[in-house]
Amino acid sequence: MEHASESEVNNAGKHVRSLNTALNQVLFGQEELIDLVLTGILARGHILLEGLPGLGKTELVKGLSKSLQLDTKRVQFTPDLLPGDITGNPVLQEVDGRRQFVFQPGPIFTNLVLADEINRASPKTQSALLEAMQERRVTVLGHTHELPNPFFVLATQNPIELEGTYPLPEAQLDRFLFKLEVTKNDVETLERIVNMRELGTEPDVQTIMDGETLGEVLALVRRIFLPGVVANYIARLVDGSHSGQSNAAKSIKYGASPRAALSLASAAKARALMNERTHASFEDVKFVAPAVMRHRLVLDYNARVEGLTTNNVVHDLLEEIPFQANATPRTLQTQTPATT
Amino acid sequence: MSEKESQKPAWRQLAQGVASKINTAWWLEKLGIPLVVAALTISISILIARRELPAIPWLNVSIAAATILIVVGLIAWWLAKRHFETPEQAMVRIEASMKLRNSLTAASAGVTPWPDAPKKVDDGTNWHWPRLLTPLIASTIFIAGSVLLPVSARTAADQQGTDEPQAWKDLQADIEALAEDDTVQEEYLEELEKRIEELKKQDEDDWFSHSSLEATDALKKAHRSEVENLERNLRQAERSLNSLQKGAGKLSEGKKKQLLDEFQNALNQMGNGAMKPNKELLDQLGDIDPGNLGNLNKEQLDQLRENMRKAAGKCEDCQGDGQGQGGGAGEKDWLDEMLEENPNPGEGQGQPGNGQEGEGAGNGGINRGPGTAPGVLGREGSDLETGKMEGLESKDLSNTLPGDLLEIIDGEHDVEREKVGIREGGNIDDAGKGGDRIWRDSLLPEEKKALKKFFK
Repeated sequence: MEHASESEVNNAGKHVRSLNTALNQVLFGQEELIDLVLTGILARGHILLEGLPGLGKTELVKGLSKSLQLDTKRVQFTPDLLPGDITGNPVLQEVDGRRQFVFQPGPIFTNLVLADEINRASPKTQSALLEAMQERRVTVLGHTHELPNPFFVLATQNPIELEGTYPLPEAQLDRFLFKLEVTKNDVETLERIVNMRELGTEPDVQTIMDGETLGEVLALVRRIFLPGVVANYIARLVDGSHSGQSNAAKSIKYGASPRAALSLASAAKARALMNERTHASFEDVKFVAPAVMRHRLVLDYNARVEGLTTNNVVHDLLEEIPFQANATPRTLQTQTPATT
Repeated sequence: MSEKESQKPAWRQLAQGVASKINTAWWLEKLGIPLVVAALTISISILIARRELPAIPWLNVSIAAATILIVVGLIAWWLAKRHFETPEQAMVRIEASMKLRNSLTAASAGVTPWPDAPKKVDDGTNWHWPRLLTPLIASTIFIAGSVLLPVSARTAADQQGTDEPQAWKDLQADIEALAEDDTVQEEYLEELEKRIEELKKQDEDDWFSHSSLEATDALKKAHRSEVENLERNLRQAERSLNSLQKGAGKLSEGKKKQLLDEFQNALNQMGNGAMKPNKELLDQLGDIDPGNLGNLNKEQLDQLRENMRKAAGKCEDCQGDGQGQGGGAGEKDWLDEMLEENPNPGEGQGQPGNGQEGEGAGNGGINRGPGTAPGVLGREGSDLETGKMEGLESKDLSNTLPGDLLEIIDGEHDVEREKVGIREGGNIDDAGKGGDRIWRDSLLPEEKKALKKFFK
C-alpha cells in the first residue's frame, strides 16, 4: 500500500481542521474532547462518552452528524429495550399473495448511532449492539444485513445513578476504541455558553464534508506511515500494561488486549493526519493512549480500595515506558521525557 | 541529490556521535566495578611488593598494571557490546528528545524529506558525573595510595615470624654457655633443653599464653635455683678447702671439724642436686680426703680451688635471667674476706676487687681502702620492685560489684506496724502485695532512692 503523500494529507487536514472548528462552535471549552472524538471517527472507532448529564455529549454527536452530513439515529437505552428494537425485527407481510417475514431495519442501520445511556439497557440488548459494532453487520433469522458505511457508535453513560444499570462488561468495553471522559466546564466557558446559547434551541452547524469525502479521508488514514519504532513503542506499552511487566502495572489485574494495540496504531495514524503529517509518531501514541487504554485495564482489589484509577496507571505507564526500545546506561542521566 | 536529501549525511553524522556517546557510556558503566576491583588488586599487589621486596621493579609493575587495566577494559567492552546502539537507533533517541515526531525515522524510510540538521543535537541524556567518576577516582586513589603510602620493606628480622619469649632465649643462652664451658653434667642440660623444646612445640600463638608463660617462669625459677645451689655449694666447698689448706696445723680441732663438715656437706649436696658439676671436678672432689690435705701438693690444691672458683663464677653468670650480677671476677664475697686470715688485722690498704666493676671493701684497719663497705645484710631492693608496691584502697563507688559493702548506715527500716485493712471512715490502707509491699514499707529512703535511680 502506498503511503499517504504530503499533499493528500494537507488537503485532508484542512477538512479535519474545519470540522474541528465547527464542533468547537457547538461545544465550548472541550477542545481536547473534540480532538479525541474526531480522532476516533478518523480511526473508524466507536466511542464511549462518560460524563454527567448536561455536559453536551448529545449535542456534540448531533453537531458531528450535521457537519458530516451523515445519517444519524439516536437510541435512548432503557431496561425494557429489546435487541430487536435496535437491530430491527422481521415483520410478517404479504408479498405476492404469500405471507412472509420481511426484515424491518432497526435504528442501528445508520451512519452514526447515538446510544444514549447505554448502561441502562439489559446485557442482552447491549450485546446485540456490541456485536453489530464489531462485525458491522446484523444477522436476523439467518439473514445477514450489512450496516451502512461508515458506521459509528457514540455511546454515552452516566457515571452516577448506577442503580438499575448494567455496567458494560470488560469484553464489551474492549469494542470501543475510546472511552472519553467529559469533564465539567470552567467559569469562562460557562459564561460563554450562557451568552451564546438559548435553552431549547440548537446551534447552527456548518456542513464541512459529505460522506464521500469522509470515506476518502478515512481511507487516507490507513495509508499513514506507522514507523517500526512507533509500532515497537505501542507493543511495549500494551505489554507493559500486564501485571509483572512494568512497575506501573503492579496494580493491574488484566492488561490491555492486542485489540488495544491495533486501536493505538489506528488512533495514532488518525492523530497524525489531524496534525497533517504523513507518519505517526511517539507523541501521537502518547496522546491517544489514555483514551484507548483506560477502559481496557482491570485493576486489582487493592488498587481499587486505594482509590487508584486506570487513568493513574496509564499515566504511570507512559512515564515508565521510554520511546526508544534501547535502555539508557546508568552513567547517563535521562532528561525529562518529551511531552506531547 | 535533492536539497532535503542532502541533510541525510549530516543527520547520520550527528546520530553517529550520539551512538558513540551512548556506547561509551555503556562501556564505562560495565567498566566501573571491574576497574575498582582491578585497581584494588593492583594496589594490594604493589603494597605487598613494596613490603616484601627490597627494590621494586617499577617498570615491570607499570607494565603489569597497564596490562591488567587493558584486559579489564576489553572485558568491559565485551560486556557492553550487546547494548551498543547503531546510528539508526541513536536517531530515534534524537527525534524523541528533540520532539521531531519521528520525522528522522520517516525520512529514513523515504516517507518524508529530511528535516534541516542542526549544528548540535540533544539526545536527552547528560553524563551522570558522580556515577561516572566514582570508580575512576576510587581506582586512582587506590593505586596512588599504594605507591605513595610510606611502607618500609620488611627486614630480615621481621621475616622470622613471631619472636619467642625472652626467657627461652636466656635459658638457651645459659645452656649453650654451660655446655661450652663443660661446667655441669650434660644430663641436666639435655633435660632442660628438652623442656624448652616442649614449650616451643606449642602453636606460636600460644607462646605468650598465660599457661605457657607460667610454665616458662617455673622452668626458669627451677633452673635458677639449681644454678644458685650449685654455685653456693661450690663456693662453700672451695671456701672450706681454702680455709683448711691455709690454716693447716693452725686451726683448732673444732674449727677444723666444722670446715670438714661444711666441705662434706657441700659435696653431698652437689652430688644430690639435679645440676651436678662436671664429672671431672666431681671426681676430683670425691677423691680428696680433707683430713689429709697434706697428701696434695700446693699447686694441685690451688688448681682444684681455681677450678671450683671458675665453675662457681660461671654458675653465677648463668642465673637464667640473662642479667649479669654486676660482680667482677675478682669480687669476693664478704664472707670470704672474713674467712681469709689476715696476718695484720686492722692494717694495710684495702684490696679492691680485680674486676672492672668490683667494689671490694678494704680489709679494715685505720688506713682502710677506699672501697665502700657493702651492705652487710645483702643488697637493698629497689624501691621500684614489685615487692615495694602498696595497694591503694579504691573508693570509687562506680566500680563496685554486687556484694561489695558500700557503706554502713545505722538506721531501722520504717516498717508500718499497724494492721492493714479497712480503717476508720471507710478508708482502706493497702500496703500492696509482694514487691510493692517491700518497696513501700520495707525500704529506707536511701534504698528507695537507689532503686529509683537504678530503674530510671
